[in-house]
Amino acid sequence: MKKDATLNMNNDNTETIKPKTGLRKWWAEHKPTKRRIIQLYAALLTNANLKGFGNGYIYIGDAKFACVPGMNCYSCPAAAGSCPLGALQNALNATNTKLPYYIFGILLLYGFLFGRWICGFLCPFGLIQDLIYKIKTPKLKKNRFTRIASYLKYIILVVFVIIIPLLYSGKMPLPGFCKYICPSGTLLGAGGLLTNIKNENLLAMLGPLFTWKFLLLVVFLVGMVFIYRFFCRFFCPLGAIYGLFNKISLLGMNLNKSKCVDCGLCIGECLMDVKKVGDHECISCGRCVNVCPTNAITYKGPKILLAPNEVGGQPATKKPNADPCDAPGTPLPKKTKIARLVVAITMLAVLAGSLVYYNVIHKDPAPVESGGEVGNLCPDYEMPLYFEDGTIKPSDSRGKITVVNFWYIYCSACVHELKTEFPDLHTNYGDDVEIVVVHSYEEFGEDIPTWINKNLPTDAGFVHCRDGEDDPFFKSLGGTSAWPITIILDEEGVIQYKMIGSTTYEEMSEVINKLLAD
Amino acid sequence: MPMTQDKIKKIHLIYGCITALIVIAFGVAMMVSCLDIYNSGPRPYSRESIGAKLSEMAVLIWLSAGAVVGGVVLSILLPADKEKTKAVRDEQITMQKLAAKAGTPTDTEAASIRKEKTLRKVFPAVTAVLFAALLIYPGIYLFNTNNFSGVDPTAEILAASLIVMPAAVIGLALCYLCTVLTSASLKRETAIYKQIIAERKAQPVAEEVNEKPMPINIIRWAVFGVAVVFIVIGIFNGSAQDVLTKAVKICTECIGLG
Ligand code: SF4
Ligand code: SF4
Ligand code: SF4
Repeated sequence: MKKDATLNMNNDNTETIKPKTGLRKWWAEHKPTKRRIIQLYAALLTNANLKGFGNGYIYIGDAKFACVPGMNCYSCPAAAGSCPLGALQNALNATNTKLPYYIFGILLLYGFLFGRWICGFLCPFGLIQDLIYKIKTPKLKKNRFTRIASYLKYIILVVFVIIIPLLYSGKMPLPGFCKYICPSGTLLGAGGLLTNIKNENLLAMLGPLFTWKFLLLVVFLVGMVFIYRFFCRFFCPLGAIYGLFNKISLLGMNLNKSKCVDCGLCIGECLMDVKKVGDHECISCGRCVNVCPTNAITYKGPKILLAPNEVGGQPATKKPNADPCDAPGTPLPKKTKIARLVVAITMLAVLAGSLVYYNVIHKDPAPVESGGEVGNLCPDYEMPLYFEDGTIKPSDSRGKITVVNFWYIYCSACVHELKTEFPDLHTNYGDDVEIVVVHSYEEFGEDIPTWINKNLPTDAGFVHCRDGEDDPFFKSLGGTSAWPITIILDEEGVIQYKMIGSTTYEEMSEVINKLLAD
Repeated sequence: MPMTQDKIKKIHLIYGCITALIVIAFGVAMMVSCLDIYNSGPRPYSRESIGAKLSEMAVLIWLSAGAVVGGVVLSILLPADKEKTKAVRDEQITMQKLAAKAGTPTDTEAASIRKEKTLRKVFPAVTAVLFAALLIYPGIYLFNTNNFSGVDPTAEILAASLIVMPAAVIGLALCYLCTVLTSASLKRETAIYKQIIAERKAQPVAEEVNEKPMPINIIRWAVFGVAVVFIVIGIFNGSAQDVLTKAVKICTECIGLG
């Protein structure tokens, strides 16, 4: 392998070209390959909830029960399913109550079926990196150092994806990778939600964490311009997991050792840090298929999507960037051709069906117009209490200043503020202020009272209750799918303060002091 | 007027370098603007503060977009030929092939070869020991749950990262050193075989392929079976429901809210 990083532009060729061929040559080299078409297809299919970009909601239907194969933040408004990495961290974080069989099963299944073929064909974040790398600048090539650095992703996997969520299991929702590193979350999740004018109120929630994640995102994006798959190669824990399955996956690359003459062209052509075709770093991009002089490299698996580049003893095409899937060779049998047509039609039908389901059939929760705004009387909802029989409603605390906080146990921002900002209210204002803490309706299969007793201060004067089915109280205050919300009601029950997002003791006490002085 | 590939590649290189500078400037400007907003006071992010920064950066934004589009236009008007692929051979395989070709070495040659082989066992072993030693303290720190009480997780994780990450970086640097030394040893051994071949004009012998085939199919279908069983158990033990529950609420951690 080359010792030093070098620029991939040098000038040793002195052939002449005819300027007339420019556009045609460019098109031949840059027209979307079959792999690119599949990447675009997969990106659209797994982000079929396009209306989310318009209305600023994330999709909250039952299909989110399924994990998509690639790195695809589930807080992206278009996301049609769940991110496997986010789901894995949350499941590990919840190991105090149940073992994460489901997500382990999903990862094993994707590993068995695809391995890192997912990275080359199905992951939208991989596609983004492929496209960014096309920006015309000198590139930093792989070398011995990048190969070593490619193991960094395993350290990130162990520390941020496995150990941190496990350490905080039962104490605090903490998906370490999502929270401190993931650029997909910042770009697709934050980018998709926060750039929508309808989510303007979320901007007020942004603080040091967002600043850190944004700076990191910029570093990743700039890195992607100069270094091929900068994030995938060095940082992505999901790629690290799938890489472990490359040897056994049904799809991927196959190296026929008896045909291989060890010319080294495949590794020279490959942009990833592979040592051998098909090893844990291989993303099945197919570049090497094109340069192998003996056709020793083929795609594994059924020929329905991709021809394995069998060319009947002829050397494979060496046209720059020609799609290896379309390499000339023995014509496909009629049966395969028909099967391909059927697959193509089915895939289009699935895509069309998904687009219709997500954008037309599935209805997002309509914003509730119930006047839960500052200056209005607080909407009145009855909520079952957690530690006593009976219910409570906002109008019960008339005559007292009341702070109402909406939270749920998987929301680290919620738990953090309940632990750090709210206890001082009771210490400093005592019985002058009533603090009602409203958990979201879902039961999570968790014993919420036990969790509260174990993790939240018991002497903070909190009155614990939960919202009704479908969270009507939360929604009446303009809540959609972003927790927490805090409101402060005056003695007449009129909303005097509303914060969608995290609040601080200082902000709340300023409002309370004013109300007490009045 | 036909233009030589030499000249075209020079133009591409110059254009690429200019674009690179613009991209870096754009990245730095984005980061500085973000920090400016963050330092501007409590609850610093708003449509106004972000809008103001973006308009300050308008020239750079247009310049960057122009540079990207210009790159496409340049490749259409003056297409450069693809670089010739440079072969990158696996040093280990090359050495093994030469060894097979060289046949039996003399005693002195065999001694030098043995020395190199021993060195290539020692380097990784020493690296592994040093790596393990490096991980002792971070390991103890990570497995002490008192360090992760959950009172201020961000501060706790920052403290842990400051302990784990330097060890990881030093560990990776050690691995790098190990590969450099191993590669140098492989080169020395390869040189010995080349010399043997040159001196004795040794005849090639049949190449040994002694990799044991892995029982891939058994492993593959075992993985599939376990996957299906886990998914089914997951549906019944509620861990599948948890995925849905978490995914239908905006993940405040993902988007950097909390
Ligand atoms: S933040 Fe990243 S890892 Fe987490 S759910 Fe989103 S995309 Fe997945
Ligand atoms: S390495 Fe990660 S981000 Fe890259 S393509 Fe694979 S799953 Fe996606
Ligand atoms: S060039 Fe070949 S070895 Fe490299 S990632 Fe692509 S398919 Fe894998």
